[in-house]
Amino acid sequence: MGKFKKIFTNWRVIILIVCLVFSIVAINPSFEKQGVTIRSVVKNSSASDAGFESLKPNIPPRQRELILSVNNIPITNVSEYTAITSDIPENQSISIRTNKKIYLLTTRAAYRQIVLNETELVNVTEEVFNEELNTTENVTTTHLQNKTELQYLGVEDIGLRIDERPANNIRRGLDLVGGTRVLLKPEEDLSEEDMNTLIDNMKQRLNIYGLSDVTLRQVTDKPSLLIGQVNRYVLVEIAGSNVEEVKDLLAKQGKFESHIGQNTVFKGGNKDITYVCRSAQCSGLFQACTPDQNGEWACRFQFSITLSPDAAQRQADLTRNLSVEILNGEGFLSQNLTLWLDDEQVDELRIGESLRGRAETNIQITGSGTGKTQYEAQSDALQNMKRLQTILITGSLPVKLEITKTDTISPVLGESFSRNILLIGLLAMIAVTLVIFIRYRNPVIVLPVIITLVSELVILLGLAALIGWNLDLVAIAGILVAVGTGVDDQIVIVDETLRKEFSYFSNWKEKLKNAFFIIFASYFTLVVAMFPLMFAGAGLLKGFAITTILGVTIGVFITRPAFAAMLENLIEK
Amino acid sequence: MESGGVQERKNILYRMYHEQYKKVIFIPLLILLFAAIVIAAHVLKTGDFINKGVTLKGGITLAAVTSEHVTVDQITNLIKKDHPDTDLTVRLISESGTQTGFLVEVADITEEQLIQSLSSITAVKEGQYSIEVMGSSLGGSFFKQTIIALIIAFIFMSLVVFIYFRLPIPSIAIISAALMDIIVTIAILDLFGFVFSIAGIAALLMLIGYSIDTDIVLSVRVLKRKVGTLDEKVISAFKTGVTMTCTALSATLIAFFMSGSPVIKEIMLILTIGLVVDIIATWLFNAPVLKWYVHNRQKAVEQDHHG
Repeated sequence: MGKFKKIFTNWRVIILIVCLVFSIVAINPSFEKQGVTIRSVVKNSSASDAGFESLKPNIPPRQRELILSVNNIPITNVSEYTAITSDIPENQSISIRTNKKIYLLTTRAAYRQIVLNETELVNVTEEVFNEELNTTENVTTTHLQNKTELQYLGVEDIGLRIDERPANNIRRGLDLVGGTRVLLKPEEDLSEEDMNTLIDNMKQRLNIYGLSDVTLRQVTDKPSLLIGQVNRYVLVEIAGSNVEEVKDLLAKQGKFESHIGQNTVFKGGNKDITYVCRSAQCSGLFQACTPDQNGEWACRFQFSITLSPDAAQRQADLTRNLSVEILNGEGFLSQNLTLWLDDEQVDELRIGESLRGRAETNIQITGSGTGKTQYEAQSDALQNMKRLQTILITGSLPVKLEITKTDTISPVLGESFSRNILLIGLLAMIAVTLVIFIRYRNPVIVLPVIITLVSELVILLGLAALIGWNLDLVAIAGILVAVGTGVDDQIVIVDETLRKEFSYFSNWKEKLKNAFFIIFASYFTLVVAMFPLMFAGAGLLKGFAITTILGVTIGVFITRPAFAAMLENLIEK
Repeated sequence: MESGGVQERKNILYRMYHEQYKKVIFIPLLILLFAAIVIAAHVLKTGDFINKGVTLKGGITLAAVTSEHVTVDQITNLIKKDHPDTDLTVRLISESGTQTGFLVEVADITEEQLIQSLSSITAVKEGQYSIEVMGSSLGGSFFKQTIIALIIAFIFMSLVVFIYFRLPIPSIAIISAALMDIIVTIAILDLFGFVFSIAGIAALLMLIGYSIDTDIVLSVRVLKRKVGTLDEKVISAFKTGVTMTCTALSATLIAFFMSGSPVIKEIMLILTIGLVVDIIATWLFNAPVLKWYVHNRQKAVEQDHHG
């Protein structure tokens, strides 16, 4: 028993234990099963109105808000939550209890606006600047406008994106949970500040579009390594697989312009466009969908925007001198408003004669979508509309991006990969301890080996949880290398300290010095080998290099000295 | 601790190192020559010293998980039917011996076209797959960069070895052993038509690290220990080194057989082959060279004393 006391009071072992405790606290494992966590809150939904807040995607999983019960029915997993919440009719009050507080939500009905083919006369009052009198006055005019009808779709989703309750704070990367990784390269070489601006712009675009579970960062590599120019890329990672949406949103520069003839009337972005309608009241599908002779369907969408006074004035100036043509009893201007997206014309609108010379700030934007069935065409139209709305709000990206690599991992694969890795890790550990037992035939040696192996793993995972690192394939490979060298170093320590031939001539300290001389030689060669990888492969191998270097450093300075101390006290008489 | 079997092994080793060590070196040198020929032939045939997969030259990799029984021919035909001229590789993936899915590597067609051709397979239709699309210019750039990283890493490691030991011949012996390990491993993989991905090149780097470890143990024991005869030191280093290699091999073999992930399988296969070759490079090459060097040094010291 005295031996054990000596082990636990040895300062190296104490450091190990302290690190282990910190790691376990960082990992924060939990064995409770109740509840589901909130990953994000959809904007303008019943949930956001009730006060649910969407937190940053990178906070530790165990700190997310936890839903405990809905209407006093306790929830234990995602399917129970979905079952209960999809059954609630509209205009009902729901109480959701979380680990923070109780929220009261009201469900809403979901509508889609359909614009009909019939027109009606509508009174519109607006402020018009009278140049002669230099005042603004209210003018009421009648407009011919299409009748709209609200189509009832059912109960709107309350707007909470949820996940199963996490068992610990370790963030699992895309390779383990499924998702999409897109690597984009700007077509021009940008400086670091320009890249940061670009990334902010892209983040804004994705957020406005509604994708909140996204991380974007700049990654670099050097084509000739260590010296010279730097290649800069943007790496986008999304949980869940929305490859097409991301590609559409980010790969196109999103340069939107409207022209009359050769002149630009307004461009996308908040300088020219002050408001873009996205609610069902003023945006949605428009008229009935029509099939063409090949059986393909086309649907049109429409949404209203508000121009800035400057843009409106530009439109007034450009239309002032146009002549009027009469079509079907209605007057239209001789030139149309053409809409251009990324230098391709996407639509052409007739301008009503009442707009001639007027600084009209309310504009309707239209477009279309196609598909093999009517349903497909409708979905395509709505998606195009959403994308166009996003582009008009955020403006164009400063530079065009090229998609150089995409990775899509299905959640099913990610799940099976996670389980598989755990099993392999366990079996590998058993195999290694078996080999060690066969070599030394002494359980007193095998026990510290297992403790050290497991400690290295726990401390590495604790570090990952603390820093907020994503555990993906690359990180796992790094952990494997680090733990592998751990076993090798322990064998070296055992052999140096137990050599019968040397025990007459040296004391323990000498033997350890010899052992660590070898260990440090291996350590330096490995660290130096990993160093060039930090600059290669668009930053994808950087994670591997850093994980390996951190892992072996923790091993050489913390766990393996503790192993030596344990061995010393167990073997020495 | 010495049982009968170990005693016998010790005697074979003893004879080998004590008497025959100069001749033993020829075995690894012959293997190295053979490996160099294999790689040269490969370069002549394909223009590169390894077979490059999609991540190193561009294209699409699709890995699907399915319990449906599919065959390589079946999948190859599905794709060739729509795109007869593409460069295509199809493999089956298995976990612990049972087939769990398939892997397709293809260039020159788009993601949508590939999914379209394979849409009759349930796993593909339902999205139970992972797909990696690599632009060809990025692939080429990755290849160049990782090879340069490999070379620079090697140079750095050599520098560390020189600084640590400060003796030219033993350091060169260590570095040559590591180099031999890599060359022979690549040659073996080329012989079997193995296709490398970027993870494979990272595995080569891991291999250099592991293989230098055993050489370092050997060299430190022989050069820095003051106790024991030269042969005793070599044999004790052998025991340590082989234990290290066996523990590593047990882990890589298990991971290779049990993992369903193509990337893990690739890394583990490279490591397994490399570790086995390392045994030859370290104990049949580095050890005899070291012994030769120490003997010559001892002889020089003795001559000095007599002269």
